[in-house]
This record gives sequence, structure tokens and C-alpha cells, in this order.
Amino acid sequence: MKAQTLRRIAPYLFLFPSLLLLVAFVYAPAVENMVYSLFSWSSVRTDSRFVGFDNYRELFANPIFWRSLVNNVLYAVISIVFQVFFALVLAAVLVAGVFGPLLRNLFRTAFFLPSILPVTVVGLLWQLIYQPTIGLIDQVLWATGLQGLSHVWLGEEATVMISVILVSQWQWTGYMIVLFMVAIQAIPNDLYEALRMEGANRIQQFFHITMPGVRESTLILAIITIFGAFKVFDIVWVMTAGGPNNASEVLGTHMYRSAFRNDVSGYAAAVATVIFFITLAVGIIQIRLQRQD
Amino acid sequence: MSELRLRNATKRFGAVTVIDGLDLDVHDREFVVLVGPSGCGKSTLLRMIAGLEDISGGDLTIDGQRMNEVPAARRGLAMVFQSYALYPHMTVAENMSVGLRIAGEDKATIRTKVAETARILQLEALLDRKPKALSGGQRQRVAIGRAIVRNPRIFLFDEPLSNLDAALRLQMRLELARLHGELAATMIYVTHDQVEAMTLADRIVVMNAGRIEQIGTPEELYQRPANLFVAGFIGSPKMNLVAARSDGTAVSSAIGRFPIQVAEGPVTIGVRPENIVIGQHEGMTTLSGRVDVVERLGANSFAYVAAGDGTMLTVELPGMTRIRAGEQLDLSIGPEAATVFGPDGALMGRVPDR
Ligand SMILES: Nc1ncnc2c1ncn2[C@@H]1O[C@H](COP(=O)(O)OP(=O)(O)O)[C@@H](O)[C@H]1O
Ligand SMILES: [Mg+2]
Repeated sequence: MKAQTLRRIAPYLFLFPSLLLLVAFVYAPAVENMVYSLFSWSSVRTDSRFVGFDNYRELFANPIFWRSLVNNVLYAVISIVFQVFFALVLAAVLVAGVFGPLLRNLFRTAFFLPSILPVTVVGLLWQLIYQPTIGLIDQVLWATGLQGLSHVWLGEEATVMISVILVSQWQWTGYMIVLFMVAIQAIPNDLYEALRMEGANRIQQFFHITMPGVRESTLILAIITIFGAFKVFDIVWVMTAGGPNNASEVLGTHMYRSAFRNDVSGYAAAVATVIFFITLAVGIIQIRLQRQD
Repeated sequence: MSELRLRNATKRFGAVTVIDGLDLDVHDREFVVLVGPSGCGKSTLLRMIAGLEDISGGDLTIDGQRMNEVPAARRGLAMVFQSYALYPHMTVAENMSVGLRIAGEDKATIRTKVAETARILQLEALLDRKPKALSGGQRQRVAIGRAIVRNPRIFLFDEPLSNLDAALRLQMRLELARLHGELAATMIYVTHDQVEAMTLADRIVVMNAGRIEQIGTPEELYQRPANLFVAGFIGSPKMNLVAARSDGTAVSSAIGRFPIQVAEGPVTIGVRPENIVIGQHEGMTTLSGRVDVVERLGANSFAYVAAGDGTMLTVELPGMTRIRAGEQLDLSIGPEAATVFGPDGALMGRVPDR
């Protein structure tokens, strides 16, 4: 009898520690954050004042917020192109054995390496590469006679966001390639051989077998990519801190600056809540799409 | 017409030779079965024919045309895989028609061909299903259907029945035999199961370690195995093989002396279980032994008998035999029932030669 009871409650016992941690450090703060977003307060003062949706009103009237949101969307779109589409195609090429095993491993390692570097290192590295005149890019442009294309990449409003976004692609596309390679390698080789005997070329094999075979993985990796794009903070903060003139501001940096530089904590909490609902919406879409199978 | 010819075909993986200078002819409308133990190179040979593996040496011709460098899709062959290799996201109809669609056939033709094939294989009701909604036998039929739709010069099968349960395997075996007749097709079929080989084949190719041990009709292989390997591999239960010695006039062994004249020296005597008779008979080699086990299969039974020195013999008995384990049994073997293999394992002679 006692053993039976134990067996029944055992799963809950195992779950309890992690649930406790989740509630204490994720769910409770998330709810608390939503409450904070309805107050006007500051971290250096003890008084706080209920203001209802004033913080949200202020937020939606703030052009920097909209600029940040647009930048996050741009981040997501470009990341999908690189880290999902390009990564999938490159992974398929690498798995297909177009290159020998040696070259394949070399490419895979080379693509993967940036992802193990700390973001701060990557940020500083690319700051150097983007430097006007002495940076690698400008040097190459001058050397090839394309100096007309030269920009102060991180200093001009027109180029700064895309420059930072491309650094993220450089860092993470290889990582995604490796994940896609694992998914592709799980597809039975027989399927490719059967289709090959039916006269399919590599591109037809990709569309008839690889794509449907990695559909699930693609969906999940796409969602993770979008999550990452909306939560991005570190690389932007290291490289530009949202500047110049808020041109590379994203929701993450906007929130951080509001909370820790401008000391408008209620407003920052409202930004955090908006990020939360965007990612929640994306998550719900994912679950819907997955259920369709 | 579909005539396949292999000359000195060789396949090496690095330093390992898996197919070793092999010659084979497959004639139009023939059902040829490649049989041999696991790892002997059957799949590799089939894949060389299919164009899925490069041929390291020798020639492959189909209808007189050299095929070594022709890509798989243009050899006019269709292959049925052991795993079935059905495309999981396509319906049965799409699975069967994907090759035609890639070839750019028009829709009406495709529909006619799929419908015709579905009729032959009784798949009409399943055309809109996905593979995961099919049973093993149904998947198997779809895989065969996918091959039929392409109207290939030669069908290639790699252990197509080994993922099925025994009852279904028998049913599909009959179906394959029927299809072979109905389609008047040329088929090359790989299996490690000698029963499948015996029942399906016009001709059997027995392979061992990348070489051909013997090619022949099922009867030839059964009646006149070219060597010890084939003798042991073809037939179930196995042929009894007993070490013996020839003095030039007769062969003597633990199970007796046989008046067979072959060259002097150590030899092996082979006797099929059904060629050993109960009792002591005039003009035959007689022996006696103790029954170890009796296996009753209904239509017949097999007794495992320990002869004088402990040599085990398998003996076929009638289905409803009264013989029990532990009994002492007299046995006789006629001289014509014994096959003699030389020290190199090759068939020596069988006296009298019928
Ligand atoms: N791609 C390969 N690389 C190296 N060795 C292989 C490869 N494919 C098959 N072999 C070897 O070739 C031999 C024959 O394999 P296979 O043709 O699959 O045998 P079978 O189908 O008769 O069981 C085996 O020893 C196997 O290990
Ligand atoms: Mg095999």
C-alpha cells in the first residue's frame, strides 16, 4: 500500500525541485513584472505610484519603441533567411557528400567555430573589422577599387542595424547548419537511393525528401531563431549600445536603458511585458503548426 | 528483351574486396535469386547492378549495352528495398507516380498506369493513404507497385520479405511468383533464405564471400551441389555431412562403408535426410543409432539420431511416426543416396550416376 502511494507521488517529487525553481525565478517574476508595469516607480526610491496603463500609453507613443520593434522584426526576418534557409541548404549540400569527408568536416568545423566564441569577443572583433579606413572591410574595398561603397558601418544610421544583424548571422548560421545536418542525417539513405533510381537529381531529392524530412526540425529551429531575434540584447549592446541616435535600438536595449540608465522601471517593465507577449504569440503559432501533422 | 551480363565484376571498399571477379548471365524473363549467408556481398552486387555502387572492375552490360558508367536512373531498372523506402509524406498514389512525374509524363498516362498497377496489387482502396497508415504487407505491395509502374527492364529485389511475419512472407512469395508470370518480367532477387530461393527461382546463384559457389536450377543445386558449401546451404534441414575416407574402391565412415569409387584420400559423404530409410535393407549401407530428438511437423517428422560413434544424422520420417526419443533405430542408405566431396570440398562423384 505504502509502496503504491510512493509510486504515485514519485513523479511529482522528482518534478518538485525544478518546478519550485521555475516558479520562484521565472513565473513569479514574470507576473510580478506585469504588475510593476502598471506602476510608476524607480529602483532608487521606495515609493511607487499606480498609473494603470500609462506606461503602455507612453510606450506606444514613443518612436524609439517603434524603431526598436521594427529592428527586431528585421532581425527576425534576416535571421530566418540565414539561419534557417541558408543553413538548411548548406547542411543538405554538406550531408549529400558533394565534398569528401575531409572537406566536409573542415567546413562544418569552420562554420561552427564562431558559435563557441563569447558574444563580447565577437562584438569587439567585428568592431575592428567594421572600422573605417583601417578595418578589414574598408581595406578590402579600397584594395579592390570599390571604395565608393565604403561606410562608417557602425556609425551611420543607415548601415548600423544591418551590420550588427550580419554579425549575428556570422556567429549562429554555422551552429544551425550543424543542427540541420543532424536532422538530415536521420533521414534513411534508402529514400534518397530510391528516388535517385527514379531519375531525381539532387535538387529534386532536396525538395521531395530532405525538406519534408526535416519539416519538424525546421519549424522548431525557426521558432527558436525568432525567439532569439526578439530577445536579442548582448551583441547590440556590445557593438553599438543601440546607437547612433537609437538607430540600432532593439527592444532588449530599449528595456535595459529604460531600467538601468533612465531609471524608469515601470516603463521598462512594460517593454518587458510586450516582449513576453510577442514571444508567447510566436510560441502559440508554433504549437498550432505542429499540431497540424 | 532484357539480358544482363556481368563479366569479372569486382567491388572493393578501400582495401577490402567484397565482390571478387564474378561472372553472371541473367536471361530475359528469368527469375534469378542470389542467395548466400549474411555479409557475402549479395546486396553489394545488386547495388552494383542498380547503379547505387560504382563498379571497381569488370563489365556490366544490359541488352548488349555497357552500363558501368550509366547513372542509376538510366539503366531502366527498378529496385524494391528491404526497408520498402516509401516516401513518408507522400500518399500511396504519389509514391507510385513520383518517378513518372519526375520523367515528365502527362497526367492522364500517370493516372492510368497507377490505376492499372493498383488493380494488379489490390491497392485501389489505399491510394490516398500515407505509408504510416499501412500494414507491413501493404507497404511491401506499394514498394512493388512503385517498381511496376516504371515498367523496368529488370526488377531488383533486396530481401523484400525479411521484414514480414511468416504467414505474410508466404503470401507475398506466392504473389511475387504470380507477378513474375503475369508481368513476364525479368527479376533479380536477393535473399539469405534458401527456402525463398528454392521456391521462387528459375535459377539460383549461391554466393559465399564475394564469389559464386554455384549457379543452377533449384533441382540441380539440390540434387547435385557442386561443393560442400552449397550442399550445406541448400536444403532444410541440412544435408548430413560426415567425414570419410576413400581407398579407391569404397568410401568408409562412421556411418558405414559405401561402394563408391573415387580417388583415394580423405573425403566427405553427404546424405539428404529424406534419403535415409528405416530398417535394414539388402544392397544398402546399414547402421544403427539412438534417437535423440524427434521433431513432428505434421506432414513429416525429423529424427536426430546419434550413430555408433556419436555422429549425428538427421533422418526424415513420416508425419505420424511412432518412433520416440531414446529408441534404438536401424537405418539404411542406398549407394545412390550418397554424395562425395573431395578434400577441397568439391563434388567428386556419385555412383551410380543417374
Ligand atoms: N559501404 C561499404 N563500405 C565498406 N564495406 C562495406 C560497405 N557496404 C558493404 N560492405 C561490406 O561488404 C560485405 C558485403 O556486404 P553486403 O553486400 O551488404 O552483404 P549481404 O547483402 O550479402 O548481407 C560486408 O562484409 C560489408 O561489411
Ligand atoms: Mg544485404
